[in-house]
Amino acid sequence: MEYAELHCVSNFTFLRGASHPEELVQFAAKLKYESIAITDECSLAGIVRAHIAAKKYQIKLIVGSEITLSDGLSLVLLAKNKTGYENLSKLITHGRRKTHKGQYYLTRNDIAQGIPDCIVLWHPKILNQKDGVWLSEIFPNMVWVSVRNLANSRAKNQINKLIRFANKLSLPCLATGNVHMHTRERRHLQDTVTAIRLGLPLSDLGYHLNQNGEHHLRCIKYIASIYPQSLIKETINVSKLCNFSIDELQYKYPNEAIPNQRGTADHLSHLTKKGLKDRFKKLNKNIPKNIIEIMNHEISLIRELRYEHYFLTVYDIVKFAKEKGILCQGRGSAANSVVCFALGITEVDPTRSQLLFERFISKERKEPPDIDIDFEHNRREEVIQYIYQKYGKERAALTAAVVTYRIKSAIRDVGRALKIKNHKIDKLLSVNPHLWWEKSDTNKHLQLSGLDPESLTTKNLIKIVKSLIGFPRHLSQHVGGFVISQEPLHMLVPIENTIVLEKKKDNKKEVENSQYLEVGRTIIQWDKNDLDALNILKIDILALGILSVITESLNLISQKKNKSFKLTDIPPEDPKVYEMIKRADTVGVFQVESRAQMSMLPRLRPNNFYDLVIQIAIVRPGPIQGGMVHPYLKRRQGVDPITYPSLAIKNVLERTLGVPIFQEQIMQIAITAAGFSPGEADQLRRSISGWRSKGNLSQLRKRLIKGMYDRGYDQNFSNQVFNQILGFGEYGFPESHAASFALLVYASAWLKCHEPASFLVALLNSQPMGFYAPAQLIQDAQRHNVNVKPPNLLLSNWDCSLESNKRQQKTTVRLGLRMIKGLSKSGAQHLLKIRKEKKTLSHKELLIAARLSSKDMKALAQADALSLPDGNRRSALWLVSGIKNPIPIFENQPSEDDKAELPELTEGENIVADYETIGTSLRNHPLKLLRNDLVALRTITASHIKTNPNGKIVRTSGIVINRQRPSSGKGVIFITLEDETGLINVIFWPKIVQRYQRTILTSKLMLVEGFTQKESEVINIIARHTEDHSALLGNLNSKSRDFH
Amino acid sequence: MIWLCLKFNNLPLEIFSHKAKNSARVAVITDGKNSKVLACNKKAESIGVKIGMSLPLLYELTPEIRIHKRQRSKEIAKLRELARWSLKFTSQVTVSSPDSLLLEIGGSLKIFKTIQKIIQKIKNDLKKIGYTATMSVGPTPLSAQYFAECRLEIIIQTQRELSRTLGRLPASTLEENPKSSLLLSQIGISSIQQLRGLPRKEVIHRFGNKLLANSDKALGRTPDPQKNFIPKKKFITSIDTPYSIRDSEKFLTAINKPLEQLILKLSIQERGLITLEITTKKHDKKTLITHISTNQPTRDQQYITSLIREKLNQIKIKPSFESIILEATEISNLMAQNKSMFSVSDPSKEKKQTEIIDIIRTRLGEESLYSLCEYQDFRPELAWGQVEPGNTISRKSIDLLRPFWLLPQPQHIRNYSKKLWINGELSIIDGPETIESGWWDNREIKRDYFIARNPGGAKFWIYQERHEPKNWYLHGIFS
Repeated sequence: MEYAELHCVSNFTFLRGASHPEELVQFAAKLKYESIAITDECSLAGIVRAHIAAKKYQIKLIVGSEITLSDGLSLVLLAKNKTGYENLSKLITHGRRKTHKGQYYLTRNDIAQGIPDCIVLWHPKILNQKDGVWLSEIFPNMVWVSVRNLANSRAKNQINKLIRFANKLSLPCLATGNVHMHTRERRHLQDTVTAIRLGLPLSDLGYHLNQNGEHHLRCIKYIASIYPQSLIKETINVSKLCNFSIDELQYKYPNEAIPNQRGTADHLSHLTKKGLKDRFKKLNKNIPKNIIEIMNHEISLIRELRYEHYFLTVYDIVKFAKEKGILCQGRGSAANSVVCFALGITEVDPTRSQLLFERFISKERKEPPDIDIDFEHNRREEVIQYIYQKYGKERAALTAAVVTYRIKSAIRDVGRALKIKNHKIDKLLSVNPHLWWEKSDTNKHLQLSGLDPESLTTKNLIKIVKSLIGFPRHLSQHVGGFVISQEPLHMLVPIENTIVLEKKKDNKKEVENSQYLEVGRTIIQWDKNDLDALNILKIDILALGILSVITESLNLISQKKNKSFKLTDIPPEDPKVYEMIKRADTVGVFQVESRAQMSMLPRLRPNNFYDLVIQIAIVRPGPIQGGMVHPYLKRRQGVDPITYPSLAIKNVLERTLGVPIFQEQIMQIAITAAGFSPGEADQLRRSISGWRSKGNLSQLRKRLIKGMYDRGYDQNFSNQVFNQILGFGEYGFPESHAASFALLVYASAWLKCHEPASFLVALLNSQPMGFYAPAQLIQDAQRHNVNVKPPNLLLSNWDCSLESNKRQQKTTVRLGLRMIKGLSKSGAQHLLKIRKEKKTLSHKELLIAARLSSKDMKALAQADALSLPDGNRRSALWLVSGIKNPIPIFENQPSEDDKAELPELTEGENIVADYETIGTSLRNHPLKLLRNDLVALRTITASHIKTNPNGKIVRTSGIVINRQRPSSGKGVIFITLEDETGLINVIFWPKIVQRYQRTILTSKLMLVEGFTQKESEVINIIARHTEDHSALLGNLNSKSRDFH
Repeated sequence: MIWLCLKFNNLPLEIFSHKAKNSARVAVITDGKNSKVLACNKKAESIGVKIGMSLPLLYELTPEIRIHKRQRSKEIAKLRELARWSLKFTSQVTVSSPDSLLLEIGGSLKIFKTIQKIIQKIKNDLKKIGYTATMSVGPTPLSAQYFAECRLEIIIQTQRELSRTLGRLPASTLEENPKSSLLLSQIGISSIQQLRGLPRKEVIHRFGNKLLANSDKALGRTPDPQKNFIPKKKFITSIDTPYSIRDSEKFLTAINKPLEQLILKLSIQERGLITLEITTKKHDKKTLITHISTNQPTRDQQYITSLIREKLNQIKIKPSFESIILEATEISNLMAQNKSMFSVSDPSKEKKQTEIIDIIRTRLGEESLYSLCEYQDFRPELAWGQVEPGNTISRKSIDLLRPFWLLPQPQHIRNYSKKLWINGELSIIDGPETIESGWWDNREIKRDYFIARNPGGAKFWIYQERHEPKNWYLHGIFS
């Protein structure tokens, strides 16, 4: 007896299906089903995964989807062939594009013209003959009545009734299982996801639950015993009618970017040659021979793999950005090619570091080229809208990101379903679950949260959370991966909306009008892994804050110099810049401003561009956990000799002194030392990035160690290599990305070094971004002799700006009105407009004329931005609080006797108010005022600490500006303190954290006693004692940026 | 007049204090999202718990802490209870804010002699019942309250002292308005004295009238009448019985008058009786004789008497008591009834029905009569339940084939050489219907149900456990 299951939803029918598509397919193969259809509700999101599994387990996969129309009519549609698939995908797109994110809306009208080449399975809830007649008219000879036996009450009776009903309508019947899970064991999980979906606890679900666990893939023998034989046979007949495979899909690149008169390849070759010529002309150099060779090689490879359209599309997008003056830069393996350099996609000069191009697109790997393009973060939307405009929402959409259950979300949702009290769950989750989940102290944590580990509810919680982790929850948008195609995308994959609209009363009406929602972005139903599997190209359009900062700095410099100053005008390899970087004087510099990077800089001492590439890649969890950092540093400092286990490996590792640092090097070692093919090496890369979640690397391990053994490497070395690979895990950083980033590191460092004022302005205007709050950026700039002035009603713009003072020949940074908390942008802009129009107005007149809201006026006054000729922020506030919202007819003239005797402000009060309103103070540093108290506490300043040798006990104090508890740090906490002379880095080991937990977590002003740890100018204090002296600060509202 | 303010700062915590062990750390958190610590005990304070601390931080600091969500309704009820309690010190008590009481103690000085003695007495008595309060005395109600709010435990009696001390209080005490408080602190006005130094017109222009009006009231410059606390009325009547009563009829005659008075009291308040307790008293010792309950609130004396009679017939009255007390322990508004314009049904019928229910329950006990309702649960034994008579809950149901008579406990079916027997061999005529449900509570079932018939023609609902040893049970009978 053969059977095909034709109605089966996976967990991509979110919160209904309780098995992964792969599990369903694998289990159906195990049960020897003839085929299995995956029919997720109005979705094809899980179909690629199912397709890959079906190929692996050698079972036929039928593509379908279940839809429920607005009037409740529920159908399963199965694609007979490619046209059927395209029509199904189109229908799903139609239903999804009409309504909100995650929903669909289809009516009888939407299918009234039929869905050609699709088979319809109909399981009527009410036996209405009219429906049957209607369906058979629309889908002639394509409708089957689907008969289920799920061991419910009166099941046999109902089956007989349904068969008689179908006979009357002359419709054929077949058996289906309405499958929601691959095995019966998933019943608890299926009940739980139902509870989550309906937002009710399990105990209140009643008949919303399934009566039993029959909704699973049942063995054929059992199926044969509960259905009439003819119904089972019919499943095979239908299965034979469906002959579509996902492999038949063909993706076509858009050809907009190619002029008619020229072929694609010629066009690309023409543009590349021209671009390269222009580039080198600008550099006043001849094109080196080897560069021309590489270019020709690349072009022929691109031609062979037919990737011309891809490069031309990327070129087109970059061209648009450049025309609009949007700074952008490509990165990724293919981005660092001569072709991309010539086309202006990347700025990494191929003559500067040729070795980078070894991992270009490879024909063996069949991996689609990978180009990520970063754009200025505040102008990326313009690029996205350009793509939508040029290709239309039918042909361009973002890639989906499948949001899956993590431990935290799973515990929360399952807890709610099991009716566990919210505060117990809060308490359980208050400690990061990664620290205790499935570890020895799980029970202790449960008990502390008031959950008895032995109780049924807790056991259920643990069991269900385990199986729910990794389940898809909903589709979201990928950070920037665009898919663009020549033909409408819905012929390839359904498209849906990403926005949630507020519920309007006439919403339903709107939906029925068949209008697509044109607002917001659209996504396809596949994620990047699905695209990779089907070899579909995506272009990553990403946002990067530092690009905005660089652009704005360059603009400011151009204005100041009165001539255009571009990125390319930044002189390369400036020793002054490297000196600054070596000192770890890098607050605000891209990538190298974090605590970890800063502490590495004086040790690594970058001297040139390539050192920066290494610096970026080495301070990552991968190299750190793989133990590469110290060996590299020792070799670099000449302490350890530079050795290579073989000449072959020398070629791979020479540029990093024999220590693997980049992801590409790991792959190359596998190729050269263990004999992996490039394809296998790529497989290795993918496996190690997923091994934490999926495990099972033993096959690859054996293969690697054997390969290395055969080539004469000893076991120790091969084990070491394997462990390094594991350490790299998902955190390995590719050289191609590091190289592109290094350019931006250098550019931003140059700006900080030579144009600190412009750089500060740009950084402040791009907030929030980076590692430091505006207060720290400003204080750092002040330490570098930048003059910063507070926001001022008559002088500030919305953004921060530069003021030139002709007398002092010194530029000053004027903080913008944007820095003022509570001031609305619209209010401020109106004020600026009035200020421009009526230049002669006094402060008060200007405020009245601008008709600002009282909230805006108070914000300005409290920030001390009114700069009244004869007053302070208090009298300003008294003044504006007397101006009531203008009465339309009479200009509001404040009374004459509105002056009041208000107490004068002390310096301390002014500083407190500054922090409250603009988040920083340009007066004295708060600790300068407290210095006497701090001296009495026997503490020394940050600058004083620098003079101390290694291992000395010091006492110091500072305002906590930053707390970091890395998840890999096993309870270590890093805190950065700030005083009037600089920053102090403190490390708290877990024992100290335990003893002084309260002080460490809550202090604003902290006293620390500990040993200095000094290594190449980097000073950390290893705390052994700490005290909370926040009370000294009074009301000062300093805020720490805490990272967990 | 002399006003004493009792401010119960720890009320949110103290209403839970009986639950906590002395050694436990306890915190009360605000309700709603982003809960914060509202109050905590000394144990919690000692390890660094602070008011206003966020919940994640609290947990990080100490996972071993008992946490209660704030219960405002309990606090309000407790404050009213404390107001009633404080009536023993003075007749003039005001509930002045969510956590404070104002007591006019000028009149009580005759009894207690000095203010200090009153304060000491209240402090001691409060300690006994487990509460703490800040106590401040002032010549005006608001001044006493402001002192207490600022936690100043002082006694101010003269106008001069009042003006000086009040002037030093923060200006924000005068009005609980975050906007005003913020503006006051921003312009550097920290005390009431400073505020009063500003031009009055300009202050009113900026802050409204309330700040200065309150200041005037606190200083006694404008009158500040207080609303007296009046305790809730108890519906209680009694009668002295100088003679001994054994007979229930005589007992009924004796309570006739107090019952009439009780019903009169209820009718003045437009209330009806639901539960009535009858107790007897001898030398301050109370004995509960009986209580009656009605299904609907009523003031029908004859009917109530008939219910009491039913109860008295079931018990023996001990004759030795000095008085009988009747107390309406549960009362309710009499329900307004919709009446049909064209009277079709007889309203007295419905009345009769509820009366019959009351009489049966009075005679046979509360549990003797109930209605049945259907629950949405696949487990047959949990698919129905008992509810108060007349409260039938009808819910949306699905079509399940179930026998009319379900056994209270499934009975094991004998199995002779793999054949099932109930008065003869059973033959299965329908099934299986699989039910697997209830894994989340302790009553999980996994069964295959069948309909079976025996040679006598009786139809049974039987099931087999899905797990080993796969026993068979009889669960219901169709016919």
